[in-house]
Amino acid sequence: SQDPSLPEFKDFTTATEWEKFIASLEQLIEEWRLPNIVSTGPLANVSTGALGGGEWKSRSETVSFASFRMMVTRHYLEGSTKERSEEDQAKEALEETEEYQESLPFAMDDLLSFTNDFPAKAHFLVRWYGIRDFLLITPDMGDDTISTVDRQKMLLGSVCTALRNTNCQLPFFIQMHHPQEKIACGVMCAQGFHCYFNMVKLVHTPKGYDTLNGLLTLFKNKLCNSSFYTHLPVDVSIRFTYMLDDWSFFDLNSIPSHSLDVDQVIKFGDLPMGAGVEPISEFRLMVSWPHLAEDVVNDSIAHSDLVPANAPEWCVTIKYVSGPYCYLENYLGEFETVLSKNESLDLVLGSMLSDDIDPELANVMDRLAEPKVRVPDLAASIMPSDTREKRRRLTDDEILIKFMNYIFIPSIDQETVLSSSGHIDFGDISTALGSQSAEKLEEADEVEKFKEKLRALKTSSKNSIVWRLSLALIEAYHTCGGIEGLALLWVKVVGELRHHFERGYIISSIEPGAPNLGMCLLHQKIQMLNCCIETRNARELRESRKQKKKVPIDRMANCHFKMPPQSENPTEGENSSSDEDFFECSDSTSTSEPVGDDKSEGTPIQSPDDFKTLDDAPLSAEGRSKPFGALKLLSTDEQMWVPVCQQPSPMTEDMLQEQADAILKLASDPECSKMTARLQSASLFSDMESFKAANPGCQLADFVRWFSPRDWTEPIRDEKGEIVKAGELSQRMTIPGNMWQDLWEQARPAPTTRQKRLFDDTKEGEKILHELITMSLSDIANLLFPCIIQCGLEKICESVHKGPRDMIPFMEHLIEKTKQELRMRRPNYKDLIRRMYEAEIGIARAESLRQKLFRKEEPEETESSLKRYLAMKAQESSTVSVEELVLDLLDKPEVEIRGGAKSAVGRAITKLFENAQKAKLEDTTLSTKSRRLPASQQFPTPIGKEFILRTKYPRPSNNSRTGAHRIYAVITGNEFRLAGAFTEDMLFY
Amino acid sequence: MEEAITTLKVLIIGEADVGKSCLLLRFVEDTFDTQLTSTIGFDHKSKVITVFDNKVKLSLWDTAGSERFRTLTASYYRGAQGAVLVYDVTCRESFEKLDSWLIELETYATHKNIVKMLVGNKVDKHEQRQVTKQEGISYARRHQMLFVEASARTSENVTGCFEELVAKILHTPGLWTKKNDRENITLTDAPDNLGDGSVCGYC
Ligand SMILES: Nc1nc2c(ncn2[C@@H]2O[C@H](COP(=O)(O)OP(=O)(O)OP(=O)(O)O)[C@@H](O)[C@H]2O)c(=O)[nH]1
Ligand SMILES: [Mg+2]
Repeated sequence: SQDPSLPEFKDFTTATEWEKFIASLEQLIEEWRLPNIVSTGPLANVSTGALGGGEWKSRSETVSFASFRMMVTRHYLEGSTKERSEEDQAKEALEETEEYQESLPFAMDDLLSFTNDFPAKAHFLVRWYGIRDFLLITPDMGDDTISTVDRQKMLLGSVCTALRNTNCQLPFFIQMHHPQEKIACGVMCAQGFHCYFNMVKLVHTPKGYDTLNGLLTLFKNKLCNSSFYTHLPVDVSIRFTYMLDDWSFFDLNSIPSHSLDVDQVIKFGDLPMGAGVEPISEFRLMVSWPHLAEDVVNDSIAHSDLVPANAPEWCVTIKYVSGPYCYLENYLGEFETVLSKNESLDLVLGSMLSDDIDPELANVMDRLAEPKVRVPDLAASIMPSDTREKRRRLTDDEILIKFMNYIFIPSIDQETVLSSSGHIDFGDISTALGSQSAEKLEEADEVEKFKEKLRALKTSSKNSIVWRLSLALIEAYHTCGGIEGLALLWVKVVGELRHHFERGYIISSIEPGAPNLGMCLLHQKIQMLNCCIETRNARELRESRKQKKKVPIDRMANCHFKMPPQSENPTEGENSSSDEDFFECSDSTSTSEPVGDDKSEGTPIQSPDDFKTLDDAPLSAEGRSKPFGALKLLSTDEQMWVPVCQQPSPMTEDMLQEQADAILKLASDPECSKMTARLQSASLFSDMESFKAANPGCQLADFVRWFSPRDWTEPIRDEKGEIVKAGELSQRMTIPGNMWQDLWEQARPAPTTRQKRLFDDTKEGEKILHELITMSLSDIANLLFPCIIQCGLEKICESVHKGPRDMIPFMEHLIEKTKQELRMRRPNYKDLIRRMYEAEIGIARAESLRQKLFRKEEPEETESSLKRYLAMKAQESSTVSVEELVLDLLDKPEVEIRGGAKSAVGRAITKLFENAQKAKLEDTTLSTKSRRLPASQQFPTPIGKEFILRTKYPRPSNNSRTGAHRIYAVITGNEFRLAGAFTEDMLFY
Repeated sequence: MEEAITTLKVLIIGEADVGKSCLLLRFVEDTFDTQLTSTIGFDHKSKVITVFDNKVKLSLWDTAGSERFRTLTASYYRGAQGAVLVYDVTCRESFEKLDSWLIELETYATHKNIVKMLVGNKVDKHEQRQVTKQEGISYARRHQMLFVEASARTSENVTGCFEELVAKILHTPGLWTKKNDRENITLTDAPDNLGDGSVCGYC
């Protein structure tokens, strides 16, 4: 090989390009403030010992040599170097000569340092030379490379000049050949030393050079041309790497599997989870002998002391399969695609039925739900009466019934869970834990805490009908033919809901009352349906009662005197209060137009008799609830009555949103502000009509005194009770033509029974059912997803303590994120699923590692009880440390094993390799079974050997100062690489 | 023109006739309209303001104060980040009813840390004052609210009141999110320090 030292290259024929190039390098060095760069101290102080531990930074800029563009990049471990202050510079200038003799440039210190060996993750130049801060030139244009020796020399020459001119002490490298080759040469100029970096890469290892002895010979030869120069002390670091990547020796049944076979039992509500493939691709053990004197070990072709059992340092690392198939991710992710399917149910079912029609379908539906789907085209397509037979998927009665039963028939324990919501339900966990340790109880507590948090999500209560519906539908999607199964079951479910609605059956397994806006939309819609059903039932009950009693109309008014209804607080009683409220509401006026308009057109909605009541008002008051304090009507001096009022319609959040949108749109235009009021006046108008009916002869001022008392100023009386100043309406109420006056004029005295219904149960119920049956697949999936996400999160939370260390904060964050996301109009489910996948992978990796490392050592039969006890104790402590290892492996790029081969963890790892070796040997010789292997056979051949050799030695002559020299050698199956750094004193030679 | 960093929903609540609509009109359009009628249901206005050099869009929901409108208006409390509670300094009763408004907020607002601003309105009517400033201050302190006395008529403190509220909301963590604000904790992927192909574990 040729001498790496270069002549002072001066070629004036190309002076301009040269000079330009060197100048641009110098400019860059100045710009980046590198001329005065110094180290901040030994590396162990800066990072956590190894160069891979700290924060690596880089910055780049392009330079060009003639038309050849290159990228100069500085890679540096942040904080390991700093710019020397001017003060220091001045001081050092004085001590310059001493300085030269005392210490080596910091890059040379790095070459010799032991603290920088084998970083876990670092730039290849860092790994090979242990340096903390350097510059690298790479060609910047496409496939262009620096391949010729001429170019290399020329570049190196310019770099050298630039470094010296700027007095920059950083090593400067030039990337040779293709970047993948990882070949570079470089130079460092400092304190009169030149250090040259060179590399050799071969496909085959020259004989003997894969041993320490061989490399030592090579190194010494290079330095002093004599391999017999034994007084040259060489410091050595060695690292061997062993790898496992074939897991076939593991039992196959240890990999969890979730069957998606249709014929298997359908498991509702139990989402699949875990990796479907081995998530770990490689397990690597790195054993090292750091800081050895060369003569301590013998490693030659004939014999080697270098076996893992002897290595003082053990380190493990794992590599993962990227994007492994995971069941939950797949289950949710597949369904997520439905979100972008805008097909209508018609389209999906139409295509299904046209190619495969099942006549039994109609029967099933009759038996199950007797649905009368009123969307005509759909009804025609899903209930073919006389077509060909062919069984398929959900069209199979039994399967369909199973689904429908799961959704609509709550099992006993589900009901109890629902009724005791809020109370922590330990269920089988606590019994299972009866004999378990406190630690396990803590874990169960943790899981419960998470489940508690999940309850606050905007979804539906666990095991409510909405919950079951969501899970059944996703299951139908997966097991019964994708979107067709989904669509078909959806139609059935809506049919069943309609059946409930029409027959007046309350839908069970959901909290009663008005839609709970804290729950998901589907939950609200089902609650709304129940409101409709209840209201209708109540009305029909009243009607049937009335038929029986045949109470005369005039007596009805009297009824109210005897038993005042509690319309103000409708929660009391079951039907009685709403009975009175909605008594005999007319169905005929169920239009959605604003009430005011309705009236202004003068549409008669009352019978002619009612008009009469307006004239002789005082005689026939109707719909009175209770006296309003002692207030008297202004004009008639009669007692003022609080009327029976209609309750406003319950609303789901989309109804509220719709209303808000309409108002928002109008409100942005000042012209329309009256319209917004009008839109919302239905309830006010109804109250006015009720008030008029209950208080014949009243006026607006009377109404205001009840409805908005602060708009009325009481009359002022003197001591004798004489009115000094009459009571008056507030100014804003008296403005001519204001909304309140308008409405008052239009309102006719009518008790709630003859008013337009504020809550039209028939209309609202139909609206929801129609909406559900005309939805696109995407809309359906959107309704179902909240519960599905919650169920998935619950599944993950059950294993939260099995995951990596950050699992708990990760899940807390994920739940918080989900909480926010579910409040959005269009939650980003894709993102949530991706995050859940991350958690799933984390758990799967941890579980896989445990499976590999926690292999129980079979106790030998003849052992004494004491021995067995001790073995058990040992096992226990090893369990703890192996668990620590598993968690460390998931967290860190490399994990050091304290105590190496002799530690509990070391034994577990040895066992793992030994088992793999045994499995391999079994292929050829069957006799090795269950016997322990000799130490030399416990491990496979290392996939890599790394050697670092370094020393201080005067070069080029004996009169020179001593400089640092180093060789890094790495031998893998198909590569032999040497990276050398040799220093020459340029002042004394 | 730069975009608003976020949209904040602010409720304006309080008894009827205390001047909620007037305050809003003063803030948004800088006018005082004596012809305004009592609000039916709710009304909505929006305005973009600049706080801490950031543009913030305010979605302001003016509600009716009368008892009978409560069920309707309360449905719209969801998702509000701020609430302006108004009383009339010339009407003791409107001050005494504040408790019930706080309960209303507690029940229907979804953000548990919603920022509340107490406003004593109509301070221009010096003669008729029935509630002292000190009473307002101590009520606000008791219930962890911001407080100011204002007048929609003279426009005293009106703009400041809304700006103060927004500033407080922006300083309350977890109450609002910047548009496209995506934070990340990773669980399974150790970050590559060098970020390019030259990183090598072994070689
Ligand atoms: N002097 C004076 N009068 C005011 C002030 N603010 C409002 N008012 C008057 O108070 C009355 C009520 O004002 P509104 O803004 O309509 O009251 P509100 O709180 O919106 O009432 P509702 O919509 O019924 O809940 C009006 O007659 C206003 O002119 C003020 O700062 N000073
Ligand atoms: Mg108003």
